[in-house]
Amino acid sequence: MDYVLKTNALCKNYRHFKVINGVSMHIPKGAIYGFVGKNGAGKTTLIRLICGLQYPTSGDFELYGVKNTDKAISESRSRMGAVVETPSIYLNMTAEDNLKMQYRLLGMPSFDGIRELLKLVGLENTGNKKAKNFSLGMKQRLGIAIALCGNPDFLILDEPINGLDPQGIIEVRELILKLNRERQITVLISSHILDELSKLATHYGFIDSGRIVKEMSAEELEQACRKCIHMNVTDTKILARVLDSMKITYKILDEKTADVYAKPNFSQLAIALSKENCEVISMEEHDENLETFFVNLVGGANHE
Amino acid sequence: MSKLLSTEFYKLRKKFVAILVITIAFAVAGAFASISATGTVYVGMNIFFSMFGLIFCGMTGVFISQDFANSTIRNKLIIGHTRFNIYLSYQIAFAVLAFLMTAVFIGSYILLGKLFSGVELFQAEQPAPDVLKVYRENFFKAFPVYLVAVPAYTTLGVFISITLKNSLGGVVTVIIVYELNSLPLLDAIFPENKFVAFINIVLPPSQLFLMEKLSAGSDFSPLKYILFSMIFAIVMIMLGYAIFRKADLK
Repeated sequence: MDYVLKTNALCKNYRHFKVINGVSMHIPKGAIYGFVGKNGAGKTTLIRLICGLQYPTSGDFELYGVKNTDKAISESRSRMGAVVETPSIYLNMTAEDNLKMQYRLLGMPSFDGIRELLKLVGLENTGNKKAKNFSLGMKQRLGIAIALCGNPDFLILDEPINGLDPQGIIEVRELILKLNRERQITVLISSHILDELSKLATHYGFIDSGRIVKEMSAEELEQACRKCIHMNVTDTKILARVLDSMKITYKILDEKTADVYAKPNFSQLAIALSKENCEVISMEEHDENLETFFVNLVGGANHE
Repeated sequence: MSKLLSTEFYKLRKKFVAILVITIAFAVAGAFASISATGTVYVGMNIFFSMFGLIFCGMTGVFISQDFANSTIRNKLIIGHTRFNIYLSYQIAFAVLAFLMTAVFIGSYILLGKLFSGVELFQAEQPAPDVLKVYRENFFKAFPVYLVAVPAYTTLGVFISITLKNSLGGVVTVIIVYELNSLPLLDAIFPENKFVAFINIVLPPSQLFLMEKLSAGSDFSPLKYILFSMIFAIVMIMLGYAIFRKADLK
C-alpha cells in the first residue's frame, strides 16, 4: 500500500512532559484519515511536527517517502496544504488578496486558479470585504482555500469544524468529500467530534496521551461497531452450520465465541443447536457506535 | 528565497505610501527644527535623525509580529520554505526598505533646507555660518554612516520580533530601541569610560546619535562606523536565526 505519511516512533517532549510518545501512524494515499483523540491527546502537536512548525524530540516521519531529516522534505511539503488550529490569514486583506499572497509564496506563474478556488470554497462573492469581517465559517473556508493553493495532494485539517454552525459543518464536510473524490486529495482530519468524522473518514487513527491506541479502516471500525449478538457456545463449528442453514451472517471469533449479525429467533436457534448437542452458554447484545468504541478503546488503554 | 522576497516586498508595497509619508514628515520636521535653531539645515544637529532609526526599527518589529499574530508564518513553513530563507527574506526586505527610506529622508531634508533656508550647501567657498561649515566637512562622512546604520538597526527589530514569536514583538521592539536610544547619554555620565565609548561606536542607534554631535574638525572614520554596523547586523542575524532555527512555533 502507498502511504503519503508514515511516522516512526515519533516523540515530542515539552521539558519533561511527553506530549507525543512514540507515535507510529500510517496514512494511505487517497484516504480521509480521521485522527481521533481527546483534547490534549497530542493531535495538534503531531500535526505541527508534520507541518514543520515544531521539531520532534526523537523518532522520524516520512512524507511521500522522504524523511523529515532529509533536505528534500521541503519539496515534499510543497505538495501539501494545512490548516492548523485557526486559519492563517491576513485579516486586513480580501479573500482574493490572501490567495494571491499564497500564490506568490508558492511561486505560481499566474493567478488563474484563484476564482475557481474561491468558488470551490463558496467565497466567490466576498468582493472587497476584508477577512477580518468574515464569519468564523468563512475564515475557515478561506483557510482551506489557502491550503489548497498549488493543488496539493495531501491536506491536513486540524479541527476544521470547531466553532462552526450546523450549516457551516455541512459545507466543510461536503467540501472535504468533494476534494477527496474529485481531486483525489489525501486528507488528514483531526477532530474530537466523532459523529462528524464517521461521515467522512475512510481510515481512523485513535490517539490518547500521546500514543496511537489503534489504527483501522472504516470497514474494520464498522465491523467492530456493528450491532450483533455476542454468543458463547460449546462448539462454534456446530453454531456456524446451524446459522448457515438459517442464512444468518456471523463471525466466528474462536472455538467458543461468535458474533451473530442479526436478530434470529432465539428459541429456534437454541432448539437447532440443542439437536446438534451444542449448548448456548451466554448471549450478549453488542451495540457500539464510534463514540462508545473510542471511549472503550481509550479506557482500555488507560487500564493497561 | 525569491518567492519569499516577492511576498515580503508585495506586503511592504501595500504600506509603501504610508511609510513614505512618515519618512518625508520626519524630514520636514527635522529640517524645520534645524532651520528654526540655526537658520539652516545640515546632516546631524537634531534628534530627528536618531529618531528616524528608532521608528524604522520599531516599524520592522511591528510588521513582522503581524505574521505571528495572524499565524501567516505557518503558510510559509507548511509549504516547505526553510527557516533560514524565511528569516533572511524578512531581513533583506526591511533592510532594503530602510536603506531607500534613509536616502529619501536625507534627500528630502537637504532639499527642504535648500528651498527654505536658501543656503547653497555645497559651495564651500561662500561665507557660511559655523554650523554649515560643520555640515560641509562632515556631510560625505555622516551620510554613508546613516545609510548603513539605519538598515543595520532593523536587524534588531527582526531579531526581537522573530524571537518573541507573537504579537507583542512589535511593542517590545519599540520599548527596547527606545531604551537603546538613551544609551549614548551614558557617554555624558561616564565620559572617561572606554567600554561606554566602545559601545557607542559599535551600536547603530548610538552611531546615529553620534552623527548629530559631530563638530568641525572632528576626526572620525566613516568606514570604521560602517564596519561596526555591518558586524552588528551580522551578529544579530546569526543570533536571531540560531534561535529561530530551533524554535517551536504554534
